[in-house]
Amino acid sequence: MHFDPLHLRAFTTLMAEGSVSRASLELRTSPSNVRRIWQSLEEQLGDHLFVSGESGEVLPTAAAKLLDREMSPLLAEIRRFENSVQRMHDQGRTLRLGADRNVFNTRHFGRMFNALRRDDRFRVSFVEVGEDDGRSALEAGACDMLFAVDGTPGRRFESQDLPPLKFDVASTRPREDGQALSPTELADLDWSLAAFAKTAIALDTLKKIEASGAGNGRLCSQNHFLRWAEEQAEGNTREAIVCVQPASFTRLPQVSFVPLESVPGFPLCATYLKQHPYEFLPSIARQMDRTLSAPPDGCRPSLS
Amino acid sequence: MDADLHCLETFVLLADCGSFSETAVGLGISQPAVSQRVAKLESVTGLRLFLRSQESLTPTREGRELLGIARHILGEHQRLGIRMARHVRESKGTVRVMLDNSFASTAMSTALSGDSSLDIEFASAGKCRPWVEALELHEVDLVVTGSFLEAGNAPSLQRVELERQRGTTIAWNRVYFDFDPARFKFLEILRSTLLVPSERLIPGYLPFLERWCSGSYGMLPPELIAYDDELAARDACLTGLGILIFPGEADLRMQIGGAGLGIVKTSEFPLPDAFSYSAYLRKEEQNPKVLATAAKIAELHRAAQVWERRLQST
Repeated sequence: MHFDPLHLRAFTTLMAEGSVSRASLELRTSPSNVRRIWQSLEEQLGDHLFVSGESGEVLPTAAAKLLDREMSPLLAEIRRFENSVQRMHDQGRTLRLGADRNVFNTRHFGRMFNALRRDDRFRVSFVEVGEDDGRSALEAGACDMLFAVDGTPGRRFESQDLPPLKFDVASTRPREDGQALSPTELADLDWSLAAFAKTAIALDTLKKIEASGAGNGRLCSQNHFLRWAEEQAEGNTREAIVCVQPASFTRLPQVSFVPLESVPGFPLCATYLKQHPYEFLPSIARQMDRTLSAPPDGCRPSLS
Repeated sequence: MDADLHCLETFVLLADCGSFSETAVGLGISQPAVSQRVAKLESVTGLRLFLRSQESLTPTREGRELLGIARHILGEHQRLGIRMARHVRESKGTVRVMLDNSFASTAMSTALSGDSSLDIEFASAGKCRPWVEALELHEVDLVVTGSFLEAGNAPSLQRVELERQRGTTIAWNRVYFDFDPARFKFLEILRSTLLVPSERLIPGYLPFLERWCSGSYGMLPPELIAYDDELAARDACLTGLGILIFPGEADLRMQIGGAGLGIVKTSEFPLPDAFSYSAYLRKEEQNPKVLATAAKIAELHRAAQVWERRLQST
C-alpha cells in the first residue's frame, strides 16, 4: 500500500484541526479538495476515518487513530530532518566567497570579509576562483558569491555593483607630505597602470586617467607591478605605478604609496545565483555595498 | 511536515546514481523536473545539498548528513504503507500470499483462487522485495517457494515442507548437444551455457553451483543464465539455448519428460534431498486465517501429488 504524501499531510492536518474548513485553510486548498482526499484515503483503507459531527466538526474513528499512531515513526523522522536543518542554520551556514587572488589581496576585500565574518547567520570561507572560472564556480556551487572586477554575466545570475577598488600610486620618488596625488602630478612621471582584470576594463580605465590630465601611461600586469615593487630590477626606469594596493606583500623600502585623487578605481561587482538556496544573499550584497561605502575605521595605514 | 517526500525521494535517488538523466528515468519524470525538485528541496532547507560540476554531482557535507535522514523518512513511509496494508488485511480477513514462478505454484494459485472459503491476495514474486524480508516486514503473510538446502531457513520464519526431492536434473536438447546420457560426464557440460534457477526461483542453488564448479573443476561454464520463472527456463532448454540444470526432479516438475530431451539425474553432488518446496510463514504467526491458508496449501499440494502419481502410473 502506498500513501500519497500529500494525502498523509492532509490527514494529519484534519486530525489536528478537527474540521474540514480549518484544515483547508491550513493546507491552503479548498474544502472540497480536503473532502476528496479524505474520501480517497477511506477507499484505500476500506474503512471510515472520520464521522461528521455537528457544526462541521469531524471526529476520528478507530481507523483514523490507528493510522495516526502508525504514522508516528514517519513523523519522528521528518522532525529529525527538520531539526537537523535548523541546527545547521543555527550553527551558521557555510558561505563561500570566491574571488581572483588579486581581488582577494586588497584591503577592500579584507573589510568585506571581516564584516561578513561577524555575522552569525553563516561561517565564511574563501575560495580562489580563476579569472575565467567565475561562471562555472557559481553554477557548480564551489562558491556562493563571487567578487570580480568585470562582473560575471549570465541569465541565472544576480549582480550587485559595489564601491570601486580605489587607486594608489606606488612611487620610488618619496613624497614628503604623504598627501594624495592629483592626475596632473602624474603627468610628470613615467607611469603605468597595473591591471588585474581583463584588458578591456584596464584600457578603459587607463584612458580615463589619461583624460584627467595625467599625460600618457602604459598598462602592466599586477604580477609585473608586484615584481617591480618587490625587487626593482636594474635598468627599470619606470617611476610610478597606479595600482590597487595589495593587502599583503613585501615591498622595497623605497617604494611608497599615496592615494590617487579624483579617479574612480576598478569597478567591483558581487555575483550570485538567482536561485541560490541561501535567502540572505541579496541582503548581504547590499550590506557589502554599505560597508564599503562607509569611510574605513581610522585613517589609512601609514605609508612610510 | 513540510518536507516533501517526492523531493526527498528525488534527492536520495540522485545522490545514489549521480545522474540527472538516470534519476529522471528511475522516477518516470522529466530531467527538468528532477532539477526542479532538488532546487525546491535546497530552497526549503536553505542549504546547498549538491556540488554540481560537469563531470560529477557530489553531495555537500550538509547534503550527506540529510541524506541519511531522508533515507529513514522514505523507509518509514514505505513501512507505514506495509503496516496499514496489514491492518486492512487483518480486518478484512485477507491473506497475502507470494508464490514463486514454478509450475507447482501456478497450479497452486489456480487451486487457491478456486477455494471460496479463502480470501487470498497474490503478491507477484518479481515485484516484491526478497521474500524473507517481505515476510519479516509483513508485506506478505505466506510464501510458497522452492529452495535449496537451508537457504530459506531464517530464525524468524517457520517452514511447512510440502515436498522434498533429491539430486539434480540435467536436461538438454539433443540436436544442439550430443551428449550420451549413458556415459555422461559433468565436466562436458561445463563447456556450454547453463540454464539455472535464479535466487528468486530457488534460493541457494546458483551460489552453490558456482562454488561446486570452481571448487571441483576449477572452472565456471562460459555462461550461466538465471531464470526467475520455470516456464521460461523450460522453453530455453527446449529451444536448445543451453543445458538446464535444476535441483531435484526438475524434469517431472517442469513436465519435460515427453519432449525427447537428453536427461540425466545425478546424485554426484553428495546432497540428499537438497531441493524442497515449502510454505513459509512467520514464527509468531497467530492470525487464524494465515494458519488456515497454510494448512490448505499443504492439503492442496498433497492432493496434487496423489493426482500426479495416478497420472504417471497410467
